[in-house]
Amino acid sequence: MLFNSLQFLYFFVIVIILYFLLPHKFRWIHLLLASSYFYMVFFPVYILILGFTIIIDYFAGLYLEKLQGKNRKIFLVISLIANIGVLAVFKYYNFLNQNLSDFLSIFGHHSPLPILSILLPIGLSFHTFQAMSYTIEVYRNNVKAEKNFGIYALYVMFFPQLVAGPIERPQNLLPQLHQRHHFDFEEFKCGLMQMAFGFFKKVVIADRLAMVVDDVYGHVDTQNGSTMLVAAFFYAFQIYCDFSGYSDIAIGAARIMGIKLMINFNVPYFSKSIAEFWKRWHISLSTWFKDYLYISLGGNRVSVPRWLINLFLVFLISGLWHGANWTFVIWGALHGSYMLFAIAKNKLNTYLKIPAIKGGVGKILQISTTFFLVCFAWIFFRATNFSHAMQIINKIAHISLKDNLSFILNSTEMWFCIILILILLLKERFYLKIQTRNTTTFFIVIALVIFSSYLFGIFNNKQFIYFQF
Amino acid sequence: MKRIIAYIVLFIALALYAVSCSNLLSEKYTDFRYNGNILFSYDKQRYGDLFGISFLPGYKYESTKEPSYVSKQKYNIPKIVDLYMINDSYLGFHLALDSNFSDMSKLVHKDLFDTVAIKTVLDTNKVNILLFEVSERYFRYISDSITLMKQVAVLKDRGLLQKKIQETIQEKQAGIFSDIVSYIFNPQTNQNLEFNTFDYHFITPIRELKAQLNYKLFNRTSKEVVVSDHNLYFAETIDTTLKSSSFNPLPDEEVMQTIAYLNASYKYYKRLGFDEVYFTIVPNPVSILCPERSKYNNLIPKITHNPDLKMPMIDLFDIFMKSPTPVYYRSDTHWNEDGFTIWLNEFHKRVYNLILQRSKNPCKVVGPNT
Repeated sequence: MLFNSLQFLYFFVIVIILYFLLPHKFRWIHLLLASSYFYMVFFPVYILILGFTIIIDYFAGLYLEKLQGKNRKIFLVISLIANIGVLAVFKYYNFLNQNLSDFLSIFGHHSPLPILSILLPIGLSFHTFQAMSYTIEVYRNNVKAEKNFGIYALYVMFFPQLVAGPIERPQNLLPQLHQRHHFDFEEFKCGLMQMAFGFFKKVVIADRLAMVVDDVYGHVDTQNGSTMLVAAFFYAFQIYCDFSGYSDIAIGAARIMGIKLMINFNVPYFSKSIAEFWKRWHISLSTWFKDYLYISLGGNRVSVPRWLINLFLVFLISGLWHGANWTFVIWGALHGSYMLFAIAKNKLNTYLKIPAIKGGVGKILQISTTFFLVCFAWIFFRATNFSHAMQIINKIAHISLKDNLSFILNSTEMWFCIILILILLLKERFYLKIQTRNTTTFFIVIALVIFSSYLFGIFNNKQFIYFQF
Repeated sequence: MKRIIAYIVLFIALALYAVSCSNLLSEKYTDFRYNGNILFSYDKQRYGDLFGISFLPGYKYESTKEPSYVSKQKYNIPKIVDLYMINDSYLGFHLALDSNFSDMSKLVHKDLFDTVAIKTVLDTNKVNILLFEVSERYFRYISDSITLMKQVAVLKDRGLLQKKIQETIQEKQAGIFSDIVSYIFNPQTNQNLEFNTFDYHFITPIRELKAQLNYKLFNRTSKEVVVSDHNLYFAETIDTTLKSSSFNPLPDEEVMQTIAYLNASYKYYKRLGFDEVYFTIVPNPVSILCPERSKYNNLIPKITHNPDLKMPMIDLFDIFMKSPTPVYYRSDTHWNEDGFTIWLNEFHKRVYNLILQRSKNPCKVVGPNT
């Protein structure tokens, strides 16, 4: 079920009213059923995959708590194999098989393995990572195993964040699922406003920019460098509004129920470095990789070369997490390279005693450079394949003042897009929060946000970009 | 008080959701609204289906219920004609009015896209006519012999027909679980909800405001609609990449193949016992009103004027072209009452002539009284 659909609005109203009408002891059952329905609307049979990993992880958690010594590790490994195995089959099998086939074709052979014609279950990478964080945390004795199977299943399947995060930690979510929540009008207003603004970001900004981006990226051969550059710039904001819009709706929806999900975005395009960007972009994923992969590999408490390899490897895997395509791997590798380059540059600056540019100009320079690097990497993220991405970069590199800009939108709408981006940036730059304390103001503002979303929104049932991951 | 409001909202939301999960219930609710208070009625069809998609107020014309120019010709056809009709929405909308086919002794019709074939035993004492009505935009998708030949199954005796009907009922009963699943996870739920929530006459001004704003500011309307000075056109009849388009190139080989399919289907149904088979391709509005918009592929003339064609055609193309008054609505994909009446007259003329030709038949045949 898409957040930007009327079906979700009805579903949400029904679920929320029933949630607060039901006694506390029945709420988890109600939420579990609602979450199952929410997921099954996409493709009913895939609930079985989710069920499979939930059962394994639930029992793995119980045994991890009960057992001592080496036996514990066995259950952790079983859980990890189950989760990564599901990911491998559904997400990476065909990719690996295709690459194997390409490799063998050099020697005149074909891959003996068949190509599977299966659909990727929606949000697979998100809920498997959330499930893995549970068993790892239980293994590390940071959290107690959940005894109630239903509550554990709800932890994995909680509908607001089931298909595109934020990827929650058991320490944060599990206790809240046990807690008794009373209807809080202030929380209700805050949550609703966050949902409405997330919806606005998705249907007014992201889906409008998507029209330009999809058209330009779909006709690379016929587009010139200037048009490609604008599309690359628009894509940076499309993906941000799309994904942060989703996160806003997810966080807002949970907040109405009294459940606080972790923050997922924190004005990422004002980051002064790539390292800072990753502290502000898709925070739940970057912290997941930091907590469970980077630290497990030794983090920075190892030799310098090993540390740099760890760092690069984490970004490479993070790229692969997004999708089974070399473009995502390159995207991850680019970010890894940026990080290594930044470390080398800092070391060199310290060694040569080159002072950092301070003040407003320095800040603007740092923010612009970071944004440019991020936009450059997004080209690989958005392109359908490597040669496609190189073609785009080549065109942008040969940009000319004589280039005619041609877009699917007319000039008024192109300016409207730019104004929307500027408003978004200003709001983020000055951390402008929409006030909800005064109820009258709240109702006026939310009515305006909803009405302008309706008037200027693009309602084409376009999926959220991160659903595919 | 809060609790009461919560229960009321819950009840309304649940009721609308439950109705929207079922296409059948949604249709019933739509009919109920259409016949009820004007405020709660819907405007999706009232002003033309393309207006219902675009909501551009400049193209808001109430559909007329009566022909303005063409009068219905009366052929006193004796009630000896059993008509089997395979049609799309062009004739579909006119089936509700009994008077249109009241001179037929029996009318069995089926939607072209309904996968369940008509099962029948032909009454040899009657004149059995099979009629295909297909709009130009669908024609190239369905004009293969497999699709055409699976529309009607003629059975030898009534016992067999009864058995087949029973089997169908049993199949339906066996599929009750899948029915429940398809109700709960109906992929059209969202679409139905949109219709049941926002398609009310009193909401139309807001939808018009949105449409007008986006059209005036951004020159953008629904992707399904193409705006011209006088008419709205269905985009798929114009998009040159689609076979439904009047401007999608039509190779000669495809024409030849189609003729062969039509001839084979004609032979097949004649062999099954039909006295005659007629075929109508209703032109896309753009083919008649604005063929110069791009290069018209001449689909209808190429088929209907083909010397090798055996299938009898009720050809409207030239008549529509010469019509002094519009035969299409300005904001609808379909013909207007005049267009339909022209077709109806042509059809009745054919039936009348057929009966006349069967001179051995003792029935009295009276000519048109106009």
